[in-house]
Amino acid sequence: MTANPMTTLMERAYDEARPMTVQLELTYKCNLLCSFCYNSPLGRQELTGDQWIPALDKLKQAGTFTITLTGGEPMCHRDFFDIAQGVRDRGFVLKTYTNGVLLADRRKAERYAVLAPFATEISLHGADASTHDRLTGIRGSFDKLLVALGHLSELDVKVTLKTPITRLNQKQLPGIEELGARYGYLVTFDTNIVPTDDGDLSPLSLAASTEFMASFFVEQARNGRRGLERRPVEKMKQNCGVGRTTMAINPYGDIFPCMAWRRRLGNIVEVADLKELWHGGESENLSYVRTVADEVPKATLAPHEEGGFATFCPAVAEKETGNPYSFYPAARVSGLTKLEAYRRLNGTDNAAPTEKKGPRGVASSGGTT
Amino acid sequence: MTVRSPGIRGDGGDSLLPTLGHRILCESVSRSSDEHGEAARLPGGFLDKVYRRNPNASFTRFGDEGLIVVPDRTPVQLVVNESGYRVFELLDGTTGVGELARRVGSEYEGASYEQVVADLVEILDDLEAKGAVEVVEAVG
Repeated sequence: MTANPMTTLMERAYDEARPMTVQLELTYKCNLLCSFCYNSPLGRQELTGDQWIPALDKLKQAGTFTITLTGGEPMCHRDFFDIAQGVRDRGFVLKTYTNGVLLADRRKAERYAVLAPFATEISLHGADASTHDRLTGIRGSFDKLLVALGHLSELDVKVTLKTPITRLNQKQLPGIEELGARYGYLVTFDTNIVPTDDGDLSPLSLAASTEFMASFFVEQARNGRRGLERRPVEKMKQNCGVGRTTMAINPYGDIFPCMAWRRRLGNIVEVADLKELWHGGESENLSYVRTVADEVPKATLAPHEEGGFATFCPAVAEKETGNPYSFYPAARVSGLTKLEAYRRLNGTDNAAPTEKKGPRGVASSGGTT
Repeated sequence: MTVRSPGIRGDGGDSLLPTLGHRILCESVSRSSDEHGEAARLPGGFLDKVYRRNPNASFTRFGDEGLIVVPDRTPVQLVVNESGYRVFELLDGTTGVGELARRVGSEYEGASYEQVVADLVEILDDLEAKGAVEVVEAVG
């Protein structure tokens, strides 16, 4: 079988440690108050558009190809459109993560469409106003989002709707999909709720039940929407592209190896040669996260039956337990839930996952721990 | 969506046709005289056609390969070989296909003008179908 050329290309980017995808958190300002938001503003002065533009040149020189503008709500940055235009003028692929509210303004939607974004991911938290607005904390946000989706669809902008599954919206998923289809847009369901950047675990209380998630994975696999295969963790070269193919920069210009892992590498305004920072071998934080990413599949996941099914992030492991190699509770639950779904799908086990407590309070099922 | 095309390798397996680089670099010496006549059978005015890259496309080189991304309601990602990428780079919206063939041919030892033109017919046709390039003008 011939290897997928895109996969081969991405492996090459990994081997060369080329920062292909960089996420720019333009601002922590937001027009919504989502209860599970992971941002942790520090109250420092955020970069202006005039400071972001030279940063784009440094990223270009470092080999970046895709820039994702995010936040907070990136469109709350007063220079959002200038920065986004700067991204396109330099030939980057443009992606945006937004709540879409400001695009209810037709002129803004038109200005955004002109940028020819490759991807626009918009959060949708419910199939109706009461659920969506409850999670966003702002009444009227659902109605504005629908107006925005109407504009974007008319303007032929590709949008992917993103729905983090919570216990508040878990019964509305078909309705959410129908809503997306009304505008010609697909919905992707995010099955992981993560702690805030400063380690606050309270957002995790919104996570949907394991029984619901197991049924969800079975249904998604049956419909061909989401694969349910065990990853060959024993053979995997790396857990993720942290510190190699991914980079993140916060609103203050601080550089991190990815969005989740907040080990500071420097500041984009101060660093003269980003390529040297990335490849020079001087950063202990960078060397550390790369080593962890390489070792986690074999060291952390392979010893566990559910390890090949788990969604594991070493940054979350460090936030939750202080140890990036720790198979933290939420990761184990994700693995056990998918393992259970896999068994149901393949007829090897018809038992529903139980919520009994395993080691260190980890919910386990079917004696797989 | 990642797609495949002549001179281009894409998602999901073998190319439908040999890659442009393969044809120019490896097959040029062995082509028959009949094949050499391909350029003469081109659609009228092809050599005067001027193509340009889709102004919204992003592209980058990866060693001896290249990645082209076209943002659209159905976005396209293309992985191209070295010579396919070189052709794409040269589509500046001012150079006609005839001149383009001469420039590409001069960069690949052993490739005849007719062979390069024949390859360009396929790759430009396909890139145009994918929305990665567009015709600026056609003379004659």
